[in-house]
Amino acid sequence: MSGDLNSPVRERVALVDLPEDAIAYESIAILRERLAKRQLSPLELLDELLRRIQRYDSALHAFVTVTADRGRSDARQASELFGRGRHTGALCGIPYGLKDVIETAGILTTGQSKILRDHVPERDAEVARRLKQANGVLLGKLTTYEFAHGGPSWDLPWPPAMNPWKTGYLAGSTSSGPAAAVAAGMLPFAIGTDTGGSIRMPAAVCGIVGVKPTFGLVSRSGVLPNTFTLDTCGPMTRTVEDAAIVLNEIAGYDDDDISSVEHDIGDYTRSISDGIKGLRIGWVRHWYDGVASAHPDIAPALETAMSVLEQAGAIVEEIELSELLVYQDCKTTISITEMFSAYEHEFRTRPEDFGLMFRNKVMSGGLIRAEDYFQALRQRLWLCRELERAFREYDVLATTGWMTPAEPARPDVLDKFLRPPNITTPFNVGGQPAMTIPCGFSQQGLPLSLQLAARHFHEDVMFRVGYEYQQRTNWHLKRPSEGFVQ
Amino acid sequence: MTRSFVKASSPQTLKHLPPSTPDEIKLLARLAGLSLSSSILEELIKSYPAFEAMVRRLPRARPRFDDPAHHLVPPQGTTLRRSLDLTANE
Repeated sequence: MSGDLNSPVRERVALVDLPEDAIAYESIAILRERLAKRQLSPLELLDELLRRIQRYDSALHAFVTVTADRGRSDARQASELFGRGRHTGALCGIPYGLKDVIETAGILTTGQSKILRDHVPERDAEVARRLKQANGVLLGKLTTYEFAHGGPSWDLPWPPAMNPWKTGYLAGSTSSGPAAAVAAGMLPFAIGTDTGGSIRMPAAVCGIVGVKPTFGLVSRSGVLPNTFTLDTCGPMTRTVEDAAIVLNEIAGYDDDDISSVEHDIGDYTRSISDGIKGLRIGWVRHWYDGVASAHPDIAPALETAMSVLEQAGAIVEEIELSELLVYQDCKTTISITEMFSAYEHEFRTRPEDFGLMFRNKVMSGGLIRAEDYFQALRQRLWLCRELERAFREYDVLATTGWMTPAEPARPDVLDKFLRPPNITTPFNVGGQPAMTIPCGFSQQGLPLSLQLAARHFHEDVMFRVGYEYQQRTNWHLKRPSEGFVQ
Repeated sequence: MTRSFVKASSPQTLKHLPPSTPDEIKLLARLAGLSLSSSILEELIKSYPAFEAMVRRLPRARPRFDDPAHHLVPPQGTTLRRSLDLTANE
């Protein structure tokens, strides 16, 4: 192959020699290189992913709406930009999906609730606008639990997303559609939301990377609210480097989000390969090791993961923080109170239209007294200060991404009102960036995950650790067998 | 040796209170202005005790200067400036 990289008539590399799923599982970093070199066109990439969606999504239920026409239009525009040599932006021609709580102009946005089953927004959420501006290719709106909370609710018109790694298993919590779509090679990345772990948990059980950015770094403007004071939006990808690439495009101040913070946004990929020699990592082992709700395969996998980080030159020390239940009580009191206020009108006028799980988990928020809510907010500051003390001494905190592998789908069993505490929640309470990355498999062959958190706005440090880990392991390169197809 | 960052919080909670009875939960729902069908009210009677127990585990009797974490005061004064701008427009 020869000639000008940007020439529209350059010969393309034939794709027929590549394995069928080679494009589908390519990282964004590689895809953008191939797109820029004209070895692959945005339309070819789009068509390959649409084929996979058509083939697999009837079993996985990752998509609420496939936006094939919009995707084709975006891909055509990206092709023109490549043709004219004006493919600016790291995501030009890269397909993506949005969790269905993120509003999209002219495209159905249901929040997976009967309350909004016909809701077509007039404007894009800020995060959707930024991805459009980056010339990404929108391929669909992705499955969630009702208003990003409290599922799966089997009495709603949309089935929950299933886990590509094992038939009959769930894809995690509320960003389950994004996680399943990325893990199954139907999308190179997706945007999820995380209020108590809803990006990190599905990423953990689907074997991908899920990033909850610092609270205030990515705008929530136009995202259906779950908990105003805790909600975040972030990338879900297959590699840490890809997460950094996506975060580069979506981070930044937005005047329409009252919690948005003006902060100098650097290039998160710039120092990603600088290594981790001398970085101090606080290992919060007591949150899972010896805890009854933790699966027995978790502790050995984390032990090995911490050894990998030590071998890479990090200084790893065990630390103790408050028990998870203390964080969970604080977070859930705040959450159900704020969620009830967000959907109070509907709770008063049409409560029967909520799914059973959402109704049962949120309706009690209407009975919580103002003084209880404020005691939870005061407790939150107490816990924020605890985390700040830890982050004064450690660059990164590490623990497991989730307490168990994926759970079986059991439509016959009602969810508990309060599950065992989430190991992801402390960093929502504290507002720090946190991410989960694959770190092994259970004996049943389901993904396990490592969670890393860093100081506020130090996503770059978190990415350095995650990137180094992925350079030394190959868990992120494993793919689900295609046995998930029924 | 494990380094601990935990500081003792106020030991006072409301855990000692007895769980609300179904009639008390119905009253709370009525006082909250919720008009619920009998089946949804039954759901609330089943689900509320778990949340009540959670709220009652929160520490009370904090020092008076323990402020709430509050997102209306974000870092770098962003909101303050924005609020001032809005006031100016009014």
